[in-house]
Amino acid sequence: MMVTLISLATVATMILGLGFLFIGALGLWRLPDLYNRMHAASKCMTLGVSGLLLATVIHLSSSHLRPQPLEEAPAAAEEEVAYAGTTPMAAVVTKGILLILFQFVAAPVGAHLLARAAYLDGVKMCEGTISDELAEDAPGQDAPPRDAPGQDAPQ
Amino acid sequence: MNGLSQPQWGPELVLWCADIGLVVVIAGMVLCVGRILRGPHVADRALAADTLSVHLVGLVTLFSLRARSALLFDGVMILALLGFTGTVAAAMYIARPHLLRGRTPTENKIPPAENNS
Repeated sequence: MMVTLISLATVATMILGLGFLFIGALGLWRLPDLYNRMHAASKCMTLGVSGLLLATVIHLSSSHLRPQPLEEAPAAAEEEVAYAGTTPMAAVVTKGILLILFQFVAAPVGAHLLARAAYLDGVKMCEGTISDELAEDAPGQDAPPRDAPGQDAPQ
Repeated sequence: MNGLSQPQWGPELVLWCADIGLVVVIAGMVLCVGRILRGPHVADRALAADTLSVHLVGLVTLFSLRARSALLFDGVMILALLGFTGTVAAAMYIARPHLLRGRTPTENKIPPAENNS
């Protein structure tokens, strides 16, 4: 019963993470604009990888509850023998939580840096963009050339 | 908890779902590679490469679940750090001429990016 509940939690978290990952990749492929793609990619990637990491942490840290295959754990195995080939539970949980925290810090920072660099480099926004608050705040400071006919000729 | 007398369909479901998940993650990686090949601007390619590294993190995570070994978590940490570092390096590479020579792309000699809408 316990094993089944833990497995169901693992599967639910994994499906959530996989859905976020695939929706992010799909948005990266389908959306019309660099900024739209960044919006899809960064958020979905954070949550998707967090889901997968959480599923793996749940699965690996509960591996002492499941009967091991015979070639991995003999019938009269002690606890250390059952953990042979894996690291103990505390290391798995710590690394997983650290990775999730790192994803939550690193993904917004990277997306912000990349969006700022692209804005400075003059990446155009798509047709339906209704507001450019960075240009409104400092007109002429950072604004890429928008809607200027002679500007976007590739040289 | 003995689990030897009862049928245990839970771990089998987890492993089966992990197999499906490997396929899904690889499909996402194919989409990322397509965006790398298609992206009109360097920032698109950098964003797609970042997404690809995140997919790689997910792939190795799923593989460590599949292989029942937590040793791959060190590799996952290294992959995450390298992906973030690569994104920061690409952003610095894109933004550096504008930060060095003046703020607006119209003032310096760097041609503005092509329209990618």
